[in-house]
Amino acid sequence: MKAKETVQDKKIPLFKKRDFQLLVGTVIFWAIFYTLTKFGMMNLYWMHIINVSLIYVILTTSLNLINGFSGQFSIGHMGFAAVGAYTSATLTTIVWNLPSHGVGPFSLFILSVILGGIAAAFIGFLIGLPTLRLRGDYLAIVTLAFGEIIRVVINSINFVGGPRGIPGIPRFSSFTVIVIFTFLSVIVLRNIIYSSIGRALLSIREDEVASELVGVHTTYYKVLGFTVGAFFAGIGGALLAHLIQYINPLQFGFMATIYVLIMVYIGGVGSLSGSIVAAIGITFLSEGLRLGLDKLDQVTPFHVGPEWRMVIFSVLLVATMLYKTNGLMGDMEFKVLIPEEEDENAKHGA
Amino acid sequence: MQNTVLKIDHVTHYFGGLRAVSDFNMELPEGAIWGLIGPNGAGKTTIFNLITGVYIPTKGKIYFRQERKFKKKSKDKNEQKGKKDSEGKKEQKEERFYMEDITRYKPHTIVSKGIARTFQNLRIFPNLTVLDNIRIAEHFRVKYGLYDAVMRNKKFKEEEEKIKEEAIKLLKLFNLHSRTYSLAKGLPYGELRRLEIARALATHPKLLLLDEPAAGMNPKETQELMDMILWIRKEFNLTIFLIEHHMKFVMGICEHIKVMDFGETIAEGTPQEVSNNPRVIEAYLGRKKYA
Ligand SMILES: Nc1ncnc2c1ncn2[C@@H]1O[C@H](COP(=O)(O)OP(=O)(O)OP(=O)(O)O)[C@@H](O)[C@H]1O
Ligand SMILES: [Mg+2]
Repeated sequence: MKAKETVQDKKIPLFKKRDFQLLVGTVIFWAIFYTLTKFGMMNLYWMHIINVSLIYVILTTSLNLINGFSGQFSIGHMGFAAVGAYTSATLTTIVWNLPSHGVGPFSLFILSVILGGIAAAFIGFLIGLPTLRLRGDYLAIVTLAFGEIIRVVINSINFVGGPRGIPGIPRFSSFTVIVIFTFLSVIVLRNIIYSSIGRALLSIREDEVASELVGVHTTYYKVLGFTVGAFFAGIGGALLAHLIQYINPLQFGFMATIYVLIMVYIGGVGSLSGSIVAAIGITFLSEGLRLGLDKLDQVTPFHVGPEWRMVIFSVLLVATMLYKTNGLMGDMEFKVLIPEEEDENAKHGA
Repeated sequence: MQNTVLKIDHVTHYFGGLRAVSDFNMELPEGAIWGLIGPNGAGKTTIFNLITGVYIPTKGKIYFRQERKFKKKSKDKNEQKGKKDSEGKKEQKEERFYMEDITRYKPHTIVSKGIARTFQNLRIFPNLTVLDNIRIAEHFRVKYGLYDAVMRNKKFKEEEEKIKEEAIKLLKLFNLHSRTYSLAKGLPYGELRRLEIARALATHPKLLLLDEPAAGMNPKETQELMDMILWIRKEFNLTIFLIEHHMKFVMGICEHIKVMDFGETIAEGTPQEVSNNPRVIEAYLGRKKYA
């Protein structure tokens, strides 16, 4: 008999293992910016943008799990981010009234982020269960409504500040914290995608009827995918709250979701790598445009405010769709994000 | 006497005002190959959709033979003994099975009970690889959960390896091995047909339903398909129920044929009996030939 052809990971030296490379890459990325900031060589404003862009990586990859991998169409993602943000910020700021330093408060903050994720997942489950049973575009309508309802609800709760929001949130979301959460989120999502669960989700996207008729409990997996996506949206929202230190209901409106949707579709439906690239790229582009448009506003006689960014992104989205139908990455992945066992089976880019 | 695997009991199905199936009855014996024929729109695919839970019949019941779960532990021993002692144990064996009412079950539950099917118009997963098409059909037998997948632990890796090995074995049997990592949408038609049957078998069925498996095939491919169906029945211990328009195919392979027209069962019997039945000739063969 021939020897087994499958790649045993024991035989691969550690430094060649993709997960290890990914970890090292992330650590190097972290170390560079951490050191630069420590020695005051990094513009704090741009550091802030890096942090925001990493949170958008979490939001975009998790939305891609729902819209890209399992082929559903959710347009209420920031609603879940709102649930996460408000849950955690209410805990840290209003209930526990934490100072922004110390090991104890920090652990409570981590707990609040997880609880934010769980709260968002729970709401996601409640919304997904009745909605995802139905085929078609019900999810879009229901999530759209949810995104608006959650805002109205938060608006009316005085305890969390109503329309005034929650100010003075301790700034726990340091660069280090955000890098760790982003890394873990991407790895968890990646592991789900490259498993039987991920394949079940993909089969639902491909042909829901056929999927059911080869034994996939399609409703269960649609709800599961949606709940996991909502969980990470909640995590992202919680981190965002403790980065910008002030949240209000308006931040999580429909336009905010559109922003994440654009990232998903420009990056590539069904590509984590695409979502990562697009989340970072578009966050920076957005900031660049804001500065650029401000300048333009000053030198031209007519008003060109930052609200023009959305127009530019829409044009960008349409252009992507025209020239690269499936987004920048299509459904390809960076090789480092593909588990070795799936090498031959998965599509990878450069 | 043969055991009945599938029993369809006075099933009637309406689509709005249209009676697509009318009082359909059938007791399909274990290990048999039966055929279902009839002109376009006769209600044949609807029968498959009713068996597999895509639709719930307006009237009537569908039963599928099941093994009692609580005796499962002693099953293997019994079976080995049973083979040695041969006939002596037969009566006991009978008790282990019962006819389960699957009428209102969801399609994925019915698949897990042991009924698999192919589709009249191929329904493979086009943008996934051939391997993934098979692995998805193995999905409900996978024994790890979300936690194991996230941790990529030992249980996960062992199960994944098992699933993949099994899938590749199946692909080799169907001569699709060289296509393992190709996207399904790139395969030629004949291979897609084979892939669909392989995917159905990956669910470990006891009963296989084939909806016009020879559609779009030339005579040579059709002959190969006939040989293949006979071979998989033996190899996988299957009972097969198939729909086909191709008369030579049905007559050549089926032991028993049911004929439908406008939802009614107008005749049934051996190929010989059916092909000599004047109603069949009029309703089906006649119309098909001279219309
Ligand atoms: N989902 C549906 N809704 C309404 N009518 C339907 C539906 N599915 C099938 N029908 C109708 O039921 C009748 C039987 O259809 P069915 O698909 O079972 O025919 P068939 O015998 O498989 O025909 P063919 O040989 O063309 O495949 C047809 O008149 C068809 O139009
Ligand atoms: Mg049909």
